[in-house]
Amino acid sequence: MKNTLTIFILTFIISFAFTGCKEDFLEESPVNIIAPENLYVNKSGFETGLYGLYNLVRRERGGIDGGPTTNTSNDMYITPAFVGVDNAFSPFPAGNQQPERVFNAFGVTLNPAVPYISNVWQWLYQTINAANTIVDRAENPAIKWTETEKKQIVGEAKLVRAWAYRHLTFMFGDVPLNLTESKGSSIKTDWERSPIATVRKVMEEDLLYAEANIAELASNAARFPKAVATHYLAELYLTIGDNTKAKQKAQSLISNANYKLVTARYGVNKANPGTPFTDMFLDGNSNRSEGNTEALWVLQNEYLSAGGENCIMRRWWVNRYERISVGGKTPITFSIENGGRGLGRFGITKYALSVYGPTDDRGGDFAWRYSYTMNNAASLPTGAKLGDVVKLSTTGNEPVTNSTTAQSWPSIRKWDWAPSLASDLQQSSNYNDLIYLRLADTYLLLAEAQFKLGELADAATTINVLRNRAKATPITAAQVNLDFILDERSRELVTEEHRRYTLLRTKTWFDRTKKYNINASTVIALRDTIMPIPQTVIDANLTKLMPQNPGF
Amino acid sequence: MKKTVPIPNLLWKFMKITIYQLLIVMLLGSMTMAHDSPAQEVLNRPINIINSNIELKDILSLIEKQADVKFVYSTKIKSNQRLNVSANNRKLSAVLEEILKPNAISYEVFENRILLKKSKAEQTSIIPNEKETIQQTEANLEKTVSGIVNDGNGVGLPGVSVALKSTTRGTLTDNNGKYSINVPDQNSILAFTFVGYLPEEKNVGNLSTINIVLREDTKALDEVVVVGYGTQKKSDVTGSVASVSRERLEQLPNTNIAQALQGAIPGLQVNTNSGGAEGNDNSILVRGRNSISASTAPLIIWDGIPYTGGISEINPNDVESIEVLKDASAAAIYGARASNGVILVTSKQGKKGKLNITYDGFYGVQNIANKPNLMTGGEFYDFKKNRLNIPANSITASEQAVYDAGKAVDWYSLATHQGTRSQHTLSISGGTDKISFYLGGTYLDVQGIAVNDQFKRYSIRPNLDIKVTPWLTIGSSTQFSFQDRSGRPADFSGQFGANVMNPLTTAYNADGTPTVYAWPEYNTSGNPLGETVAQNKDNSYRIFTANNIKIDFPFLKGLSYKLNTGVEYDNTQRKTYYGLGTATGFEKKGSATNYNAIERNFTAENILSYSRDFGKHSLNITALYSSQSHDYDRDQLTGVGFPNDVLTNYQMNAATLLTPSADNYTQNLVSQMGRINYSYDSRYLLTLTTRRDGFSGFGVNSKYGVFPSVALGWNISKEDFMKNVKFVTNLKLRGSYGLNGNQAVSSYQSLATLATRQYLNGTTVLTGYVPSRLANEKLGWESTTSTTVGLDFGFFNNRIQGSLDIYSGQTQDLLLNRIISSVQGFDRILQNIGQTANNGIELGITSVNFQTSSFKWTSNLNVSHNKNRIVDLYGDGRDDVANGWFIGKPIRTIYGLQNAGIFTSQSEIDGSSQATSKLGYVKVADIDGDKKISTTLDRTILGYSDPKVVYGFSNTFTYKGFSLMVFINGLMGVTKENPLEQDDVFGDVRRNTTKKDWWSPTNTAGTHFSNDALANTFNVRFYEDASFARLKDVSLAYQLPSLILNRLKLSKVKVYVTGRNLATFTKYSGLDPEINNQLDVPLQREFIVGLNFGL
Repeated sequence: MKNTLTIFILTFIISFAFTGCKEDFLEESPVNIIAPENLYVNKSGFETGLYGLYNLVRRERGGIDGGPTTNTSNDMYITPAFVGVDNAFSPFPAGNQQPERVFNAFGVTLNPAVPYISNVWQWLYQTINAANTIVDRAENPAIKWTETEKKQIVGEAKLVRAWAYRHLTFMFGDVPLNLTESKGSSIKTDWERSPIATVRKVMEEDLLYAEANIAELASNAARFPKAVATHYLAELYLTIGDNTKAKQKAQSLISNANYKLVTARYGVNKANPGTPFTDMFLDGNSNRSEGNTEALWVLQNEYLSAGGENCIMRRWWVNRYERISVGGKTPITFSIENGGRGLGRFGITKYALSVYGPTDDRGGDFAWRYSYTMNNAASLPTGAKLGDVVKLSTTGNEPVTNSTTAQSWPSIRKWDWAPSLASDLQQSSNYNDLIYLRLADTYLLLAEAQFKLGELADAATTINVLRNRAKATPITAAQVNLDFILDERSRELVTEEHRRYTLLRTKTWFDRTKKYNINASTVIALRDTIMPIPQTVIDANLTKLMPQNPGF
Repeated sequence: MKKTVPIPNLLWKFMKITIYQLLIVMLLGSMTMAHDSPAQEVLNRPINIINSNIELKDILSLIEKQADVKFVYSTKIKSNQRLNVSANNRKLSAVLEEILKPNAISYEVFENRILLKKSKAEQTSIIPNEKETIQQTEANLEKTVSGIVNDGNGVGLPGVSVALKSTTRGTLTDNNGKYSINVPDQNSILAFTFVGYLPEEKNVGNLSTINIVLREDTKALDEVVVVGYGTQKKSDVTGSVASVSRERLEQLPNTNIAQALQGAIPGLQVNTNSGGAEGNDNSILVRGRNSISASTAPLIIWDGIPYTGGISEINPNDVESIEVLKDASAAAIYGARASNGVILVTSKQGKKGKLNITYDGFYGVQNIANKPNLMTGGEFYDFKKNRLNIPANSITASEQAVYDAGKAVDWYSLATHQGTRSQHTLSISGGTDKISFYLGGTYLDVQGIAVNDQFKRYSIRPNLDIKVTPWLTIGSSTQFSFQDRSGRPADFSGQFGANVMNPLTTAYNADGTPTVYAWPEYNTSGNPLGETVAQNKDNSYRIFTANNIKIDFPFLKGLSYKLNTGVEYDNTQRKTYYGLGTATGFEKKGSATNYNAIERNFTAENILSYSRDFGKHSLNITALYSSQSHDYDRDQLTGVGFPNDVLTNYQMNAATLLTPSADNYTQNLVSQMGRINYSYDSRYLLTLTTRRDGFSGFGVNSKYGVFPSVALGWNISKEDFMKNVKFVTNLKLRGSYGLNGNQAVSSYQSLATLATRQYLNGTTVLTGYVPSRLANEKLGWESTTSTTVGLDFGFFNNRIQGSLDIYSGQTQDLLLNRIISSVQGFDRILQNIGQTANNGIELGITSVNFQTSSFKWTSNLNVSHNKNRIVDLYGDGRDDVANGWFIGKPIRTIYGLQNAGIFTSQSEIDGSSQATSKLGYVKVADIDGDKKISTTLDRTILGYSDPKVVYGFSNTFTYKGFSLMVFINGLMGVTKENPLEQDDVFGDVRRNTTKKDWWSPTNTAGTHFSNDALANTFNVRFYEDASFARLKDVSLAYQLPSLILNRLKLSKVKVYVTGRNLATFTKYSGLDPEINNQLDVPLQREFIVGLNFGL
């Protein structure tokens, strides 16, 4: 009996101890991780890849604070495209290394180690890698889709890739060209900066591919329509000096029946006083589906909705009106009418205010905040009552940074928005949809091409389309010159266009910024035309020295 | 009456020597230390002796070997008398009857010890000896001396020999340790001797009662240590194994075992990273930092099973001992997880015999050890008013109003209060023939010094040991615990925590609730007390159970098999609700988070061991096959935008926006291990170990690793030539060499992943993904090759004992989150690259410095020095400046711009590299001397964050029932940033800061840079020497003497007071040199009173 038991136990042990586990015991099969291998297998998988890409695109107007992987409501990604130019600066820059301070102060604050520089670099290359991943993996023959479906997706990915290289080339000049999906098994430590012309060649190819293959009108508001490719092609050709092609591309878009300028009152505010020009920027009017025929692409935002948060255009462009001091009191407080809470991180220069003629809708009260109405019963100056108007000064120079008068400087109303929740007027983000690209910009690209080609009369005609819409006095061919076109761009597109890129394209950034931006004029140097390559990128390029831009 | 008795004296000496030899024989005979056994079972053990005419002592030692018992007898019993014995499988009781009865010797069994004594009738009579001249007769004996002999813990020692010195007269103590002896005169000397204890002598003088405390002879004890997959005699251990005894664990009222380990073991650095109620934020570093980015935490094995939970969830009251495996050989049995050292925690087990009921309890108060010197409202107002280069009108209307009304808030005071800590433990243990048990229950309640910072732990531990048959044992050891971390503490270190919150604000509404926005103009600032009104229920339930079946194979002596299984189950449930009264809740119209996580761990180990002595050869072989499976599953749902606060966490269906999140992983480990321990004559020792580990988290191309090691030991003190070196009690030289791994990788870390990034079409959310990590198929363990040479020593009968270790380790295949060019879309990737090295020396000494019969002073000093350096990073010998890693320098090197003071004269500015600077601005050292300050080129090494020397020093003074313990620990050679030196108030002075001696034109003697937003444009950080010595614990205890205890029928009563963190000696001017975040909850100073008693 005892022996039997012993043998039984021994057998049990030996079988337990030495049979071991199944072969796949150490294989990993995660149930909660999305990997490229299980996502990019069909059309809908690729579409989620595209929406990820558009999320990266929309971050342009969101916060960067905390690095490229965190969505926040501080430090706008695209800061240098907006401020540190002829028509904009920062009235209230934060901290020491915040981008709006960097592009106000330049000098030592603009250096290769400033976190903003490496964050913006990484965000753009992250976008490029995400696009490359889609482009590369679309070649997998196992995917079942039609050639049209495939080209549509690859086309959009290439369009976003070109969009990212556009930012990179304007900001940094020559940049490394990465056109394949990054793999852990092939880390490069010897990147080279490709000449800007090479990069632009790739951009041209990508844009042409996109133009040829993506749908005329996008299947939903998130996605780029073909028009975006055409528009950026026009701009690219202007940039590289191929004015004929630029003119041709711009014209093709302007003549596209799907798009036309908004010339009449429409939409949510139609019954109230206003202008056709300013109607476009109102919540409920900005989208194509809401009647905006001019919009090429509209940035989608949504209150309390994943994917629709942390857009900080209003927070950055609206001034700190709640600090306006009258008789020692602060009679103006946050309201929806006042556009929500702003931090005045960005503001326009005196020049930008000065370019409008008296009849121009674009310079009028519906476009600009030249005065506020007292609405703070808690802090009324002696003798004043609610509803009294406080007029802001528009005659002097733009205020000195962080000065006592900085809050009393006019600001643009294009980005006004506040939630209708009384509890939360101070919300950080915009939750209204914002125009990103519109046909008026294409008109001005056309005018620029026509001017470059010497077709001044045509240029004047093109410009007058916009001026007529805004009730500004039409101009004659004789008035057309580069400065006029740049002024017209500011009139039409101030705080919308990437002004820095426009000035770089026309090689006027240094001169015009020096001339018109009073804060920046004393601190900018020629080296500031392009930004320094991030020190981390130079440090990480272990086996090959990556040259820094001159002067840094 | 003076007498000259030369011959007996000599005889006495002779006999003493014989006894010592006897003791040694007995000890060697008892090497295979037995479990406790009841008397009857012992007496039934079979004996085989076929011999005649051998000395009694030889017979006894034969019996000792066969029956696994130990004999204890006094010198009165003539052990050299020759006897005839024959026994063939007879019961021990029968054999003893036969050999002892004719010699008028009776016996008693205490556990495994058999006490021999002369039969009653002869007890105090003179035992004649043929060589001895009888000098005294009964008539000469004038007085009677009696008393109790105890073991220092108040327990009477039975069977102690009490002899009248220089005679053969003597007696033994009875079951309660009592004795009574007649002595001739006042000059008589009593000698007390007992196996396992150091002898004592006492002059009789006028005394009629002499109570004696015998101290344990640590040499004789022959300590057994837990070494993983078994135990070993300390003298046979070849690796570096350090033990923390139960005594040390019980000496101080600790909340967790990390606190008990701090400063207790050489080569172990335990750092308290932050304050707070739970006290669980500790980091433990064994022999320096091997890893640059992977975990450096040691592996914790609890009752043989890997433990993954929090260290604060192990109840230190239930712990019998803690062993730390430090070198490659000792730790090698844990292969891929061993290179950071291994901590073995062993739970208390029941013992056979009397039922023991004990109560331990303490109560203490906690206060802030050190407060930051923050500005008051008025000072802040002036500071803000006078600050240069900030926006004008920065003082907002509400700030002005608060200032005018004189209602500034001292946020720090509001966010802190006096904390308390109390704990109650009740335990019952005992056992019968076949079953022994331990049942302990503990309740811990800590109210931290941060308002609303609470931690409660309820735990119960049933342990059971069942001997089913002589060859089958079943053991079970379990802890059920419930941790309650409910309540959210006041915010200290957040953007607007109590440490930095603007004082010109309003803390409370008229109704006494905290304001939502303490500062109306800044809605980002909230209220540091906001967290305290959030509703938070945070409970975790943990079961940790280790169960084993052990079979001692009857057919092959020494062969046994053990199946050890472990289950760890942890469920954490958290429900947090921020109502409209908090900033978060106000902005989001209520925010509710429901969190539920389950973590499980299953371990099965098959351990086959064979242990046998062949003459002088002793062999022990252990083979292991084990597998472990660990999984985790978390569900979390956050809802915002509710109609009201009524239904708090139970209204997710009404939320405007729901954000779910989840996590899940499974990781598996399979291992085989083999270990051979061989010793020759207990003098020459050899250990060979190999472990092979396969881990699911490793990359597909590197699933398995093999980790071999070898160790040698030489017990020098057991050599013949050491016999005459009297002062050396113990001397052992050991050396080891081997490879250990650091598993480092977590599940799925080697796979490429995508992250969710949504976008919108109108109001419809569109799910999107972007690449978020690069794959690495070759990702594997980090491996450390290390060599240790150590010396264990004991001098003067172990009055001084300790060990000295010198080690050197090289770590390769370091898992580095290497910075790569972000051109690839990622700025880092995890790779096995790089090498580091650690060399060090560590010394631990325990000594009895001073001792009389009533006073004793013992010291324990341990000190270790470690030198850490990076050998290579990316295989190209280049530094990684971006990460601050430099070849040849320690891993944690501080690299940055160097503070060179402030500019105090214009000529200084003119001659400097900062020509545009102003007076009072920070001067930056121009390291490259190019006359301009570059934030990249002028960086330099400013210090190292890991200490060069770690030490712990404890002294215990005992006087009669009193004992005083003073414990100091500290670090040397460490640099730390002092963030309190920064203003850090934001551009428009939104935050408070510490009071400083700001330089200004009117305060040109000021040492701190001026109150100017641009004074430190280069953002120079300030570093200081953070070496410190801390008076960590002072504990005074009083224990009732055993006579009173006997009367009270108690076995132990002890009361104590303890002070913790009483004083810190340091040059560091931050809050505390040890904690990480100087702006977080501060460290507490504690005073505790406690009571232990046992029935």
